[in-house]
Amino acid sequence: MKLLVKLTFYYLVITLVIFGLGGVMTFNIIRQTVVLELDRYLRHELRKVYAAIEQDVPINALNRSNLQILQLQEDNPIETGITMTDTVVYHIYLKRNEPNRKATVIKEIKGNYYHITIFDQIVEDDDIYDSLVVGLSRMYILLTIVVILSGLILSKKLLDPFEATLRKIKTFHIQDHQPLEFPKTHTKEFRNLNNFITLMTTKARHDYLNLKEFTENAAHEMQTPLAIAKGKLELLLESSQLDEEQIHMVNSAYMAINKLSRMGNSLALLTKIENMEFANLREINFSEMLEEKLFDFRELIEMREIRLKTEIEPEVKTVMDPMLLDILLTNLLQNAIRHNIENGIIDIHLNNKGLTIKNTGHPPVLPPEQMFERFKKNKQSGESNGLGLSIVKKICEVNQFVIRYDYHSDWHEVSLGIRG
Amino acid sequence: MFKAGYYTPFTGTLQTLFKKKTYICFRMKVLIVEDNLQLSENIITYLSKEGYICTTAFTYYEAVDRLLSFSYDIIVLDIMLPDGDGLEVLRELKNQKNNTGVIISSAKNSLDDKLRGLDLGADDYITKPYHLPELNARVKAIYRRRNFEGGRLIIFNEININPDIFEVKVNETPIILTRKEYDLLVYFIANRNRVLTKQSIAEHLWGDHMDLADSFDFVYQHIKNLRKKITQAGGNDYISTIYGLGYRMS
Repeated sequence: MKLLVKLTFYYLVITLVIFGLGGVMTFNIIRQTVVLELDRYLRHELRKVYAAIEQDVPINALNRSNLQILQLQEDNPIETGITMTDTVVYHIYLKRNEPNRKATVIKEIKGNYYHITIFDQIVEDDDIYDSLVVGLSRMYILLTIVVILSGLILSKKLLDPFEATLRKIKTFHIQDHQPLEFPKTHTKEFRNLNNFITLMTTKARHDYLNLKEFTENAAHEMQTPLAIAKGKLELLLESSQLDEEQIHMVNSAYMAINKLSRMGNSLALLTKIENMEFANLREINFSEMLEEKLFDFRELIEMREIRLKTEIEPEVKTVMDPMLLDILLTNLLQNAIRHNIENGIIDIHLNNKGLTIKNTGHPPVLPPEQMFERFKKNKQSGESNGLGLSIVKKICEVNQFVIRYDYHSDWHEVSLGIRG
Repeated sequence: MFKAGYYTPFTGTLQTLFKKKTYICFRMKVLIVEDNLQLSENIITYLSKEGYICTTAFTYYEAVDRLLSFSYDIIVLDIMLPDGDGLEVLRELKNQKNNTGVIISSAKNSLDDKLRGLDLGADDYITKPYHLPELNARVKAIYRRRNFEGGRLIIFNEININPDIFEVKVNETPIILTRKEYDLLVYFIANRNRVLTKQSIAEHLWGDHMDLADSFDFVYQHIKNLRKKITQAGGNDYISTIYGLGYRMS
């Protein structure tokens, strides 16, 4: 859920609670005011009654449905103050009891004592409640609309720097040569965030460069000692004094060193591709190159008694470094041959959309998505160093080719999408 | 034992070898410019057995000094020297206008260096770590090209190769070899009496970017075919298998 939606939601829930409590308070205040006002009215009416009595208006003429005057006959009646009480009076027209406010007083006027009761209809609680609910809910709806609208408009403005930061981070690539730069913002939080991200990415880039440099150097520096060891073993193998067991030991060491040096070469190649050191871009005839490579591999294919089916559209062109295409095709064809079975088939299609190499073979041990990772290989032993497909993938990355691997019903399929 | 300066390994035993084996008919002079002592020792030991006169230089200064004083047939040139760029040695050499072949050896497998080197007149470029037989084969190829304008035949007993037209004859009978078989035969003859490991053969035939995983079977297959073709044409079977290790032609 978006932050804004969450905020609005909580805000509206809290407002609802406040509106509820406020409603109760308003209700009480209105009710008190109404009662106060009515009481004042009743007192005023009483004073008018006193005046009328003083002017000798007959009591009977004064009596109305809501005004009862009784002349007290008993001895020594005591004058009382006005007492206000709530009461219920039967309403003749509505035919039901209605709440009323009643003022009662015993008053001495011109030596006579009168018991005067006056009442009047009070505004019902229900009515106050109803109008309050209507008023408040309309207000609440208005508030909701305003909050949501202003939220939408304001958040665009307020969160803009944040969105900008997010966009920047998304495009960040650790191999970039420039540090991340953010537009200026006046919001402190965002400013902190941007500063932090700049710091972090700068450090990450720095670490990455260090590591890369180390790998490159290691790959280079490794070669000289390896060359020495390799040469010494080659010379040792030349000497005739070795017995069979010794030859085997020397040979094992020799093979291990070879493997190591090839691995170093492959890693250095990967780094070089990554560093875009193959920038000899030019238009190459993909079809011709593929045919040439197939010619080179022909004898290997024949030796394994593999049947080769090709459907190569002529004049398929692509722009890339010829060296890289060479490496790419060598690796792919080599894999198609190596992971094939006796009397297997290799099926190659090339057209303007791309290249598909299908070959028969045993099911892969690795899940297809790990196929292109470094040092992942189906057979852990053997001379293969598990870097071939990583190199292929890296070449595809720098040339923006799309590469996919699939396995279904005994067929391995590598498809390569090239630019039109 | 191996100090900067001359290293001439032709003592008595090698001299007799020199007389016995009629195919060694030249004493090639090789200058090895390599700052790593162990590495240059390896190269000298290997190449000296071919009967070459090997001299070493460990620095740029030494290399230029030697070039000014003597002439060489072949220079194996490391381009990363402690006191300068090996490519400068090439420039120096060009000024002298003599017929010296140059193989650049570098730990950097960089196309740029390679092109620059070849531009400056180097004949070949080899990336460390290389196999010594490979270096030997290339030295011989360059020597042959340089001194006989490519017209010199490679002769090994009854086997006769004309590298210009890729023609192979056994006892004057031409035999048809595939490209790989031809390369293999030339490689073997360049390194006769040497142990050639499967790895070095595979790399010679298929280059650096080929994964070696299964090429050994192919090496075996090619050698089998080559032997068959030679013996069918009436030649001797010179190639022997060293089990688990490789092959030797003698």
